[in-house]
Amino acid sequence: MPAKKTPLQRSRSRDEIRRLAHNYADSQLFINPGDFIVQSNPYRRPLRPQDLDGFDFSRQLPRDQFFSASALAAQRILLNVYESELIFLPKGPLAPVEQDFRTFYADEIKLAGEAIRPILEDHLFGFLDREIDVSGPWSLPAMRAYFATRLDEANRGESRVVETILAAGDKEAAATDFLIQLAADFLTEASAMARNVLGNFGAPLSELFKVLIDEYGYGVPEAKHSTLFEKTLESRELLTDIHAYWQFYLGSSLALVNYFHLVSRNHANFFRYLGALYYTESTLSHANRQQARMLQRIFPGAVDTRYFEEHVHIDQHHSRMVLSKIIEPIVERCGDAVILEIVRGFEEFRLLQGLADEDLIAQIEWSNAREEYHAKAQRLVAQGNLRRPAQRTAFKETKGELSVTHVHDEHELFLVEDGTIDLVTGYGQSVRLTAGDAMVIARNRLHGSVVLSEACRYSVQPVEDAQLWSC
Amino acid sequence: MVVLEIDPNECNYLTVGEESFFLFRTCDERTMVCPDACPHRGGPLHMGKMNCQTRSLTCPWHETVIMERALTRRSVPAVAASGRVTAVFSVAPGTPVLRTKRRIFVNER
Repeated sequence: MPAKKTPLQRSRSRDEIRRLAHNYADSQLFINPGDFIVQSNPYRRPLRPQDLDGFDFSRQLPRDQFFSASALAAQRILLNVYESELIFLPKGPLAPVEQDFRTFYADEIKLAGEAIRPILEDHLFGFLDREIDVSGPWSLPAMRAYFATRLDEANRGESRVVETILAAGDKEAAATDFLIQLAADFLTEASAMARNVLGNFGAPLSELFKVLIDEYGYGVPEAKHSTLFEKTLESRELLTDIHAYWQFYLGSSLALVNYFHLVSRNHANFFRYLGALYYTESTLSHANRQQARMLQRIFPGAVDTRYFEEHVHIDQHHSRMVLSKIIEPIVERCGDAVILEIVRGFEEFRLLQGLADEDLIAQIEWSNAREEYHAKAQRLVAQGNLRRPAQRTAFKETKGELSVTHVHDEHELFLVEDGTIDLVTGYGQSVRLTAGDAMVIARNRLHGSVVLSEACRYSVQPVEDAQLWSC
Repeated sequence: MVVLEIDPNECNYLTVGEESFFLFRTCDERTMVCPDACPHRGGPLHMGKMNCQTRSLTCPWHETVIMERALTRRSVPAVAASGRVTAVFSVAPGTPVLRTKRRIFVNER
């Protein structure tokens, strides 16, 4: 089915939407920083506003563009918009970042964010309506049978992500990439869920509150799930600052967080939220058991896996509570018709989780094979695949200049004309390129760069699939 | 309850116990799992003719006209996603299931 424009999108021109995106993303908070890591400042979240003119946020992205440049840019903006409703404080003193604190929470930028938010939500998640079709007259027994079958499948066998990490040449880097993706979500607590415990929907609200308070450790900081995850990060000497690794988040990792905000912020999506919550609470236990084992195997005696072990235990309770104490009473109260939305939420999050796994696997495999892609690029150049200079896009950057991580929608041949540059393919993973060196940046793979010499000139050109596989 | 996974490329018609079902494509391209028996005299609805202007289908036996929304109300709880259909049938576990691929006339527009 072709992508349709929503009434909101139809009412605005592409130029107007672009202007709305710039109104938000051009803030000083989101411009290019001097480093890949942002410490002690949870408000600085680079958005590469210079790229926005190339994107068309006025249309729904199809599923096969879920890892595209436009998707990454939109996911980043959207998370910032959602999180401007949450409280974050720097780990250190506020004074050095007080202006950023005030700007991040200022009405002016929040209004700009609200103007672009629904457009980005539809751009990113509109495809779910076409991908998932829930039909028929559902009943509680049918819903239970459906969930049981789906969860039995999901909780069987080995995680593909875990298998990929264990098979990686550089397992430590791959496992670190994995932890960084989790940080996008785990350090900010169950913030999206908290949007659903206000109001009044009777006893199920109290049950939902129990799940939430479990996440927050019953008011004991040491027991908060985010604290447990911080211990995991600290045990691997990783930063625990909110979004310190912002630039290393994949778009699909952000999508998992954004989806929960999407269905929790607009309460018309409440039933979808319940389905998504049930899916995640019912699959995390199995996944976390494998993840804990994987981390212990890669970092023997040098990783704190209590976060994962806690979830192996508590999510078995949460799964049961969400189904029998929240979903079922709500269906009994509201009627069977709401099951359609509950099943939809379950399926939507299942699909998004599958896409996020696929994206992370591809990123780990590409980053691990970076020397191979380096060699491929050299062969492409040697085979005369280089376009004439006028047909390549040329850049000249100076020492220390950093290209904020991003993705391309095509494979790209990156050729250094002179100078030295590090092409970054993941946290702590890079290829150093000097004059005459080339590298293939695979389609949709996250990368950035930083210039090491006084100046560096390089050029890029697209590479066809056939060219890539023939060399 | 029995939950069945259906690959539409391999199966578009199922007999679950005594009852038959077909994969019905609605006029707005949704996929549903509908009982094949016409509510009138049990004619094979999958061999009927769809009219997307009136959003109704006509049974080949007695030309009974059934509105699309009435057919969808009789459909089986199902999820179509990622090229597959998963449907929940209200029968006892172990009920025999026969899967076939046949021409579904009503989906030809």
